[in-house]
Amino acid sequence: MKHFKPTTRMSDIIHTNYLLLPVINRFGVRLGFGDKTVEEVCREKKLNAGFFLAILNAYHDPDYFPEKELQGFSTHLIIDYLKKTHDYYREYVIPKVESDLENLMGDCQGNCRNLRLIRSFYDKYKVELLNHLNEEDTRVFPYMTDLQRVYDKEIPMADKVRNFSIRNFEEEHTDIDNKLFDLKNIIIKYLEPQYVDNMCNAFLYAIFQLEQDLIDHARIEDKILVPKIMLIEKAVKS
Amino acid sequence: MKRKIIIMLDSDILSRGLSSIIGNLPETEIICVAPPEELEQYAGITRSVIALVIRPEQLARYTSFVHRLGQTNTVQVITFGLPGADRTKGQSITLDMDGESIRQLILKVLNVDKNEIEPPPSMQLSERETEVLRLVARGYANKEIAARLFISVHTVISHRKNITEKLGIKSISGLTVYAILNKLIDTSGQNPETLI
Repeated sequence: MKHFKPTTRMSDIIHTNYLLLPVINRFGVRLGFGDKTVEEVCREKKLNAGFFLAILNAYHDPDYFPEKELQGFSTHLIIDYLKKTHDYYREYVIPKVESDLENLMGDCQGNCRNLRLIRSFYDKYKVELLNHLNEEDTRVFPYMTDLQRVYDKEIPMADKVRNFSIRNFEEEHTDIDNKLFDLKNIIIKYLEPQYVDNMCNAFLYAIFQLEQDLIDHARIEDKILVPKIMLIEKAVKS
Repeated sequence: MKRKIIIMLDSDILSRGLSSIIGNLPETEIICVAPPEELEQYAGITRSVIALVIRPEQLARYTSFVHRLGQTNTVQVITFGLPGADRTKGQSITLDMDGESIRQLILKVLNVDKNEIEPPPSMQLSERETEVLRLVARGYANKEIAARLFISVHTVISHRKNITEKLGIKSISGLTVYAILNKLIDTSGQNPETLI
């Protein structure tokens, strides 16, 4: 697969993969870029072009993952990006999935009992997902930011930093991913189709997209941020 | 499981030649990596069977990478060398091999994990598995299920693993939804949504 370069035109990137639209938006990059290239847009928006490209390429090609290069970017930069994706899930993706689900239920034909089961399952999943995002935003990320600042000698070491460890937060992603996978599979394989097909398709599209986005998101957290933080913990606390 | 062939030969002629000989294999992606430094970009591959074609003299340099890749994938190393090179150590492709033998070798290597690639022969739940599923769906823990069915916890766990593999459902609440949809548990007199 071809990867994007600093000299690639922004318009070509979107023509190649329109799923990158929300990703560029998270960086504050909006459409109407004419013939501008990645480096030109980044210069204008004062973005780190290397980071911008690494994220775009990692999202575009699931096998592209320059671990070392990504770990070289600053903790603050990575967290800032991850927080923006959290906002995007909360403000746009989850409401979109829900409105698709409402449409699906609203047009249910015949026995709606089974669709109500699907909704209960989704509701449960949503609560878990939101709790997870919230936990990261209110506890994990602030801890990481503080730890980095201690390492950079911007603030003194405090108990809340000393007594905390990133190890407490690992492993959480799997169960949430499993539930989303199950939701898809139950609809695809086992739910009797008593619904309007297009409504169900729309709901599934939304789920597939959320899943893809979450996988990429978790990959950046688990393989880039967490190992980076572990190294800093080792340096600061030992 | 996905299948990937990573060709890491510092020659365009060799890489392209080899990938055209291998040609199209079902659900297999061929990745040509040159120069070898680019290999790091593929550290994120997971859940794949990977055939890594590499020159034997470069192998030592990438041991740790191969090891890391091996933690989340099945990695098979195939060395590439001149005719008459030492073939005793593991699998190797040499310049004098004909196309068909190369293809056969690659096929053999990629199918190593046959069981994992092919779905289990029967997707139908056995009677015992259905019983276990019923209890899982009703919220019983492994220990309680073991006691009720007079089997060991270990057996319960193995049944659960098979159920998940056969149905493609991993979470408990997902299994509950499945059980209700298929009327495996009696929900009369209660709102089934409360069980999830």
